[in-house]
Amino acid sequence: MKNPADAAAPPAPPATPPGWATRLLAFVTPPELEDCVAGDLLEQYRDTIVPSRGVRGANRWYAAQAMRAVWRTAGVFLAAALILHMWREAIDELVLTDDYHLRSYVLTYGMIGIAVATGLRAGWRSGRISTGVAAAGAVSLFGWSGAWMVAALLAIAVPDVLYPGGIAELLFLPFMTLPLVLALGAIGAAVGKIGRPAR
Amino acid sequence: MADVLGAFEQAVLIAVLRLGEGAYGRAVLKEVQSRLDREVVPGAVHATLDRLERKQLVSSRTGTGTPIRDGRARRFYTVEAAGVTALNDARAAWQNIWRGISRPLKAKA
Repeated sequence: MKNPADAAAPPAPPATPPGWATRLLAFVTPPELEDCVAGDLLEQYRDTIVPSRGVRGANRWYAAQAMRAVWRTAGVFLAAALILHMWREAIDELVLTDDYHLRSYVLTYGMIGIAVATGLRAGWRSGRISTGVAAAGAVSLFGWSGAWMVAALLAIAVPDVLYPGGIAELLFLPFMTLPLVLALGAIGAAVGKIGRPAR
Repeated sequence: MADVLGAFEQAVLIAVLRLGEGAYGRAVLKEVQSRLDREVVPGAVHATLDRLERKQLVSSRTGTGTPIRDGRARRFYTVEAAGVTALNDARAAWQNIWRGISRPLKAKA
């Protein structure tokens, strides 16, 4: 026999994917496709993913879809920035030299190119300058995280390692250069948005 | 011959053709998955539909929202005449490539 209390209970609200993933997805999707992409994903999430994987599994699936969209927008630049910074940090610590100019040029102009290209691609794909600016900033900080990782590993593996630029440089430079990176990202994104073919 | 369509683009275009009036993103995804018999990432279908629309091989119209989508609209796609031509060209290209080859292929021992 049914419990009368159960019969009176209101139906459970439909499962909802993580808000951060929904916002991230919207941020990298062109405005004209935002509704249909988010709607299609939400339909799949509620219709097939939640029943088969449960809410937690479905949330992971939805987050993975959002991260894939980010990767398609900026993945190659994230990888390039990471490799560039790891390379620079590793040779600075392990291959000492009297002249750091060449290494500085490679890192500086490499990061300028990556910031502009990230903004360009993100602006072109999303049709938004704000996406290009945010993508350029995120790529730059992610790249620096590679340098932090190498520095931390070397500190453990090679206790008497020298830090020619100093630890302070490693910690403050990423944030000091961020305004420039954001400006370069904005320039790239503006060009990308203008060059975007009309639907 | 214009740009020959890639295999995935062909799968998406044919799915839109098969689905007719009901060709929106998720239905296309299900159709492509079932025909290719593998898991397909939803973003790949949306990106391909967007690219095909920019190439003017398909056109789209916005439908109405449904409660399961929290009212978000579906975008329905239709294959344009240029899309049909591109599919025919792609098929002809594959037939040319395979002409004279007996199937199934056998590996040399």
